[in-house]
Amino acid sequence: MKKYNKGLLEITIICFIIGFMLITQYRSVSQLGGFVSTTRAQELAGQLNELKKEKEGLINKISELEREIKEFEDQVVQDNQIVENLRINTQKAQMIAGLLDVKGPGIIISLDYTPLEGETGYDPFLIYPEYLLLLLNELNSSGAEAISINEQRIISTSEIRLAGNHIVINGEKLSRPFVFKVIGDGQTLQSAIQLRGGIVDLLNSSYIQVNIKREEEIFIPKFSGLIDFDYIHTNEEQ
Amino acid sequence: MEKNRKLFIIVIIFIIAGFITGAQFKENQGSSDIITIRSLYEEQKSIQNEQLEIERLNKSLIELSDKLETYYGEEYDVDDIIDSLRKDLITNKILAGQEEISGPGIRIRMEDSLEYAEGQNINNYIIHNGDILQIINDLRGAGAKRIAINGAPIIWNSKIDCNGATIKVGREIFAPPFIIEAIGNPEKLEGILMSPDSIIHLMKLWDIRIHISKRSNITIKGIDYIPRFEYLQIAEEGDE
Repeated sequence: MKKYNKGLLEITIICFIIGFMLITQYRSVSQLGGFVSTTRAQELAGQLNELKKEKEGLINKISELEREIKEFEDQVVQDNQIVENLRINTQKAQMIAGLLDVKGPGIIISLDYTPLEGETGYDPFLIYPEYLLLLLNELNSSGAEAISINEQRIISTSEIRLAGNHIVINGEKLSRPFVFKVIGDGQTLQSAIQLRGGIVDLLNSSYIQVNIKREEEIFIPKFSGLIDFDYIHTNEEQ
Repeated sequence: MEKNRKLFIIVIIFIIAGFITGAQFKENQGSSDIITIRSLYEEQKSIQNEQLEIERLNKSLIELSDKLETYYGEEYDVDDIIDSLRKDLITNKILAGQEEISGPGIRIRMEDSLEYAEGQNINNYIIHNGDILQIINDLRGAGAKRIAINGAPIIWNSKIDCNGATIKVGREIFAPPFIIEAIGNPEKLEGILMSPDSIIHLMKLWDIRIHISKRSNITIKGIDYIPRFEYLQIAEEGDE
């Protein structure tokens, strides 16, 4: 009888331990966010898609209206020097700001990573997102005149941020391969990043494949997001 | 015999427990796109963002059609058109970083560490251009409208290079202390720098002296040069 009880005690303790382990696991899973029904997720994804479509439609309407207004203004003020100057200056500012589609000679840099067979988990872009930032800075140092990463035009508010399994640029989720389109002096750009011990070597050392192509004409799209003027005052307003 | 049986039961229990935890762990690791509350939350946030953008677009749509209506409807004045073009120019100049702007934001003052532990790499105790790049990137991620280093405005193609003991920003050379100013939502800007994955955290470990303060009004001047484009052309429609 006594022996029997003793065994029971041991098993009880073991069961306690196992129960405790399971609960800890469950808790850590729910701390990560827990599991949720897929229907809800699909609902949200659907909603997001609809909103995106709606936004696209609105953007199209707006650019149509803008074109109409521009045509009208053209008609009204033909041969007006002031208007002409304003137009040219606006265009120059838009060019600096990244609000115009542009083209020119330059280089296209593709960065990619091929995982080894059966390998999961390692993605150099998610471990070193700052490398993209360094490459960008290097290109700017060598006189880049316009840059886009996966068709996202780099403007003065563009961020390169790691968010979960994606890199976010201009608020858009991107993943590898990353294609940098750069307009500028192709020779200078290429030699600057291929400097020994430079950024390309750094990328290679993290198993990122770098492919550089010189092109005579590259098209880089304008910044397509929205810009708000919250928190900003100009001096004229004050 | 009795003892063996007990041992057997215990072994089986352990095997089962091992399987359960193993399976759980594997499941967690394997699928990276598992649906968690957090990912739903992110989805919800992007939906909110889209809704906000749509609201804004609707507003500008109304403004534009109003403008067009006045053009068509009343006796238009050339001066009105010039006025509206002038406004356009200023808006674009702000976005290009050519116009002085002011607003609320934060100010970060950084100085190299005074500490130095024997045998440590002295490089860890000083501020590098890469640190500043990452701080600027963080600030942009938090929606900074314009950023300046020691008063020099930063636009998208401003280079920030290592220059020996100093840092080169565009054409200007600065020595510590470095002062980074950013216009935007002060709470958000401060929040991103305080988050655990911010570079600031690491820099503080090396006793680099960092002081962050929220400001109700920061003024950042426009760029004092005109970027020259030798290779860039405006793309015509259908150039894609």
